[in-house]
Amino acid sequence: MKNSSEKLKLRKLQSVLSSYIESSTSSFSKLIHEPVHQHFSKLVDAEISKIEFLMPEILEDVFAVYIRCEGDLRIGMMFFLPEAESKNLAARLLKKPQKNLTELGKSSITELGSIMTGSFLTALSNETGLHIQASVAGSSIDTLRSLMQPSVSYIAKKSERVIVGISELKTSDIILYFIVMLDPHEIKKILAKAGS
Amino acid sequence: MSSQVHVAMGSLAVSLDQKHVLETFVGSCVALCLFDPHARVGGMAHVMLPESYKKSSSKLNDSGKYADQAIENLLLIILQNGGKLGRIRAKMAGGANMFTHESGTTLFNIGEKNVHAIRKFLKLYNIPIVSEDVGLNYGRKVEFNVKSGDLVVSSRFKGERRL
Repeated sequence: MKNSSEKLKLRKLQSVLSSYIESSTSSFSKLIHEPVHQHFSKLVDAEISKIEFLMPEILEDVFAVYIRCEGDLRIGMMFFLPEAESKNLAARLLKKPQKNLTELGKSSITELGSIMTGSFLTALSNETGLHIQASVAGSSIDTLRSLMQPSVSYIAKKSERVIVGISELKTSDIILYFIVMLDPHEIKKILAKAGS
Repeated sequence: MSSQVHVAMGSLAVSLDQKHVLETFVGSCVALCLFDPHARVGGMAHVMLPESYKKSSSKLNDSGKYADQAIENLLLIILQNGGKLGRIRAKMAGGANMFTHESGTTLFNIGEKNVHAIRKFLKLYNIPIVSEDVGLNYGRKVEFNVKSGDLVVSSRFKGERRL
């Protein structure tokens, strides 16, 4: 059971992360020339063994882009959407219909993930002064349960628990999920400097 | 009729119940199964990371997290339940490299490191790996039948395989 101080910290963290994700949302919107609405659906501090049960229930395979960030903070970021919807997103980005998800289509979504990560990290850095470098983005199509494992393992190297933030970025017909994973011991670095 | 026991990320489960099928999903993680076919006791660990570097794992639900501790913990419970070290066999699946850069460059090869660490620690106990399905770049659903010792691996690309 979390005490009220921990709950307050999580609420503050949700608000801070949501503001950084808003920068990513804005980049997404510009790239597809359409309004995108962010809904921060969940922020949890959970044991590693519980993480897979907290993820959105998507039974079909997903297209996912994973980027890990190191420096003053370790952050794992993953963007994903159902594989069937990824064709629509690629079509929007390339301004060409996509019968199947081509290599160019995959590349366009991977690049979108890199741009959105860049926007998130710029907002975080501007607000807190923390310096973080992002890895090259990697992409894959598989089950969400399989794809989230490198990200959880990355954070779990140093901690028994993981903070997971799940945000839904909604266009007129696509939902792109944006997952942020953090080490609970490191959130004070963000909270201490955010808005100071 | 069998009953499924889910093994969550970083955890482990051991069963003496012949009706039990231990199941999990792995990407970069590895489903490591140790069993004594004579005593018919077996378990599965969902290994996330190669080595604990002696960091103690106090809770049972994450005692499958590191390869070294997962093997120690599985062995301890199997031996306590009638298993004998010379009879214990290993099967494993997973350790994929889930994400690749479009140039084909390998990224975040934690899966390969997990498999390598498991081989290294099993060797210390002289436990043979009798079958495996590891590496490549896709996720796997893994089911281990305690009664038969069968490992059934299902994936997007390869369908279902019995190991």
